[in-house]
Parts: sequence; C-alpha cells; structure tokens
Amino acid sequence: MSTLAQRAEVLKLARVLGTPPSQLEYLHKLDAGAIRQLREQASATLFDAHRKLFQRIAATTKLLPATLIAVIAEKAIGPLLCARTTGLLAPERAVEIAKRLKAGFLADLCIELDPRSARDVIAAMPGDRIIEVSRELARREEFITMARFVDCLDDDAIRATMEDLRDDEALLRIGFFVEDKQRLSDIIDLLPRERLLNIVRVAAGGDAELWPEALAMINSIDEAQRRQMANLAAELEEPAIVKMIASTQAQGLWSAMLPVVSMMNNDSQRRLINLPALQNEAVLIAIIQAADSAELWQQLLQLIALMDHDSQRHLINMPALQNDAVLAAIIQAVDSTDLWPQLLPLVALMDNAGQARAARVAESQGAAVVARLTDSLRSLAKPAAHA
Amino acid sequence: MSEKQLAALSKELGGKPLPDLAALSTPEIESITESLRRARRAQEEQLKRAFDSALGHIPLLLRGPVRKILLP
Repeated sequence: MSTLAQRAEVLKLARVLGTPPSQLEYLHKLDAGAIRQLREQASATLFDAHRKLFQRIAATTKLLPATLIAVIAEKAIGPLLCARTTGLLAPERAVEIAKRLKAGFLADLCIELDPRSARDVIAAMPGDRIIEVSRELARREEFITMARFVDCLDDDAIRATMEDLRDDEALLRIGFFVEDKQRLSDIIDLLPRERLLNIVRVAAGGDAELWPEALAMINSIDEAQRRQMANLAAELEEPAIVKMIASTQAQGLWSAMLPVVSMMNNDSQRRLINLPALQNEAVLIAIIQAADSAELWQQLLQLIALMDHDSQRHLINMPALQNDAVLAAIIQAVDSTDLWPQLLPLVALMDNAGQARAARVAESQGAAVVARLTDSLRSLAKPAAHA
Repeated sequence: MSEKQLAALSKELGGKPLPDLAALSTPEIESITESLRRARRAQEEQLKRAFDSALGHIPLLLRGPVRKILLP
C-alpha cells in the first residue's frame, strides 16, 4: 500500500509548496509517513511565518462591516491570505463574511486553507454554503482539497454533500486522499449498499482506471467494511473483474489486492481464482512475487486450495516456486499458521525434483518444523488408511 | 546526504526534528529545501501586494485605525 499512500502524500505536499508534483518525484523514496511529516511541517512553517500579521489582519475585521471585508477580501487580500486568517477569526464573524463571498472565491480560499486551523469556522458554516462550495470544488476536480475537509465536517454536512455529489468517480478520488482512516470508515457507513457497489463498479470497470484508488481505500477501512467492499467487488460482472485483474497486474498492486481477495467469501474466491485471466503465467508470477515480498503466503495458499486440480499442478511446478528462499518463506508461513493440511496436497502435485527440494528446505528449518510436518502427514494419511 | 544540507532543511522548517530522510541524496535534500524557500518567498510577496492593495479599498476615515492595528 505504501506506493499509493506515497502518491497521495506527494500530491498534497506539492500543493502546499505550489510546485508541480513531477518536481517531487524523488520523494517516492521516502515512506508515506515521512512525506506527511514533511508536509505538515512545511504547512505549519508557512502559516507561522507571518502569524502575528495574520492575527492583526483578523483584528482589523472587527472594525469594518462584513460587506466591506468581503469586498476587500476578494479584490485585495486574495484567497491565500484570507485562508491564513480564517482560523483566527471568531466563527460567527467568519460565517458572516463568508455569506457575502462568491462561491468561486470561497472555493479558492478552501484550496489554500488548512481545515484543522479553522475547525470552529467550518463547523459554524451553514449547510447550503458547504454544498455550494463543494459543488464548485468538485467541478474543478479539487479532490485533495475536498478530502482535507472530510476530516473536519460533521456527519450531517458530509451526508448532505454526498447526496448532492452524485459522481461516484469523484467520491472515490476524494476517498483516496482522506487522511483520517476512521473518518473514512464513518463515511462508508453513511453510504447505501447500492452506492458502494457502484463505486466499486466505477473503480474496477470504468474508463478512469481508478482501481488503485479503490484498493487504497478498501485497505484503509475497518475489517467489516473491507469484507463488504471485497464481496461487492466479487459481485461484479466478469468483464469488470477481468479489467480489475488487468489493472492490478499493470500497476503492480498484487500485494494490495491479495488481502482484499482473501476477504471475499469462498464462492467468490473460487470464481476469481479460476478465471482464465488469473491463469496467465505473468500474472501468476507477479502474484507469487507479491506473496513473497509482502509475506502473504497464508492468504495465497488459501486461494490456491480453491483452484482446480490442473491449475494447482501448473502453479506449484512453476519455476518461480522452485527456489529455496521462496520455499523457505512458504514453509515458515505455513508452519506459523498451521496451514500444513493446505500445503501438503499441493506438494504432492510437485514433480519428484520439486518434492525433494521442498523436503530438503523443510529439514533445514529445524527438527520442530519437521515434527509438525510429519504430524500433519500422519493426520492426512489416517482417513486414507481407514478407507 | 550531508549534515549541512539537513541542517539547512531543518532551519527552513522552523528547527523541528526532521523525519527519516536517509533515502534522499544531497541534491534531493537541497531541492526540497529550495522548494520550501520558494514557497515562503512567494507567500511573502503575496502578503506584501495584498497589504498595499487592501489599504486602498478601506474608506479614508478608517484607514488610520486599520493601519495602526496592522503596523503597530
């Protein structure tokens, strides 16, 4: 998930610095938390640089009528400086001025505003003004800005805004940038099932290639919701699922996708894992590599168990698995999660050389591992002996 | 990545402890520091322009008290 989170953070930092994101490409070498910390520090530094002056500007607004302040704000002060001053105004005064500002200017101001510095003002803003400005921000595709406000708006304001914003593609793009993941979960709870299904449909099968955004969102929300979204994705028509697989493959997202698939119910997993699109050699190699690098063998083995027999035989004999380090990782994952009963039937499908290699690697893991393996072999053999 | 470049970045960020930037090269640290400097300068220029322009919109009678608050 880190690359998706990094992408979001680099875009946000570029916005704070007023620089094109392409000039900050090198920051992808940092983890998302470090980029976020840099952004928060940059934002605070810029805000603090002239804090006293902003406080004085806020003080002068007490002297002048709100109508005049609105004129001066739009004609002279501009959205950046108004944004810096907003959080320093009394909320009622700020609302009084905001009522007199054009929606376009308020949208400009929101782009520059750090919503956390103006929570009270935002909370005091009338709902119709919030909807009007969010409409303008959505029209301009200011999804980063809208996501920043999600953390500060209450449920009623969010619900009203989402009912007004019928574009599920926009909703998904906003969700990708929301920082407070608990808030994102709260918002998913506000959405009806049909809307969630359509969001997944738009993400997986739409032309905008938003599957990375959807995956990032699904992996951020709480477990019950993750399971719900995963099963909604599994409900999609086959062309949409094929597109979802192609997008996951093209963007190297299997380490984010496998945990989502592992949340689907068994029938959905069986349907997915046996699709021709997943039998492709390059796709299988990418999945094996993702399971290895992200330590997702447990999830993958449970899926492989649902494959048909020929596909299992094909996969288990792939050169990507004939590697001591990969086999050792699989055996460690299996041993620590007691998945021997799932692995052993697969090992039986290996050719002789593969089985010998697996046995040697298991032996190298120590006597305790071999003992547990032997116990599992005995348990598997028992029903056969009775028969 | 040298200590000197990190110190310059930290200074630009108000002296706060920096996140782990070990993955960045010296020119990359310099580049992010320069981006911050540019953003700060742009804000200063904008502030100055806005200040001059705002006073022009304030009725003559109020200009004195407003100037007093803004420039104590």
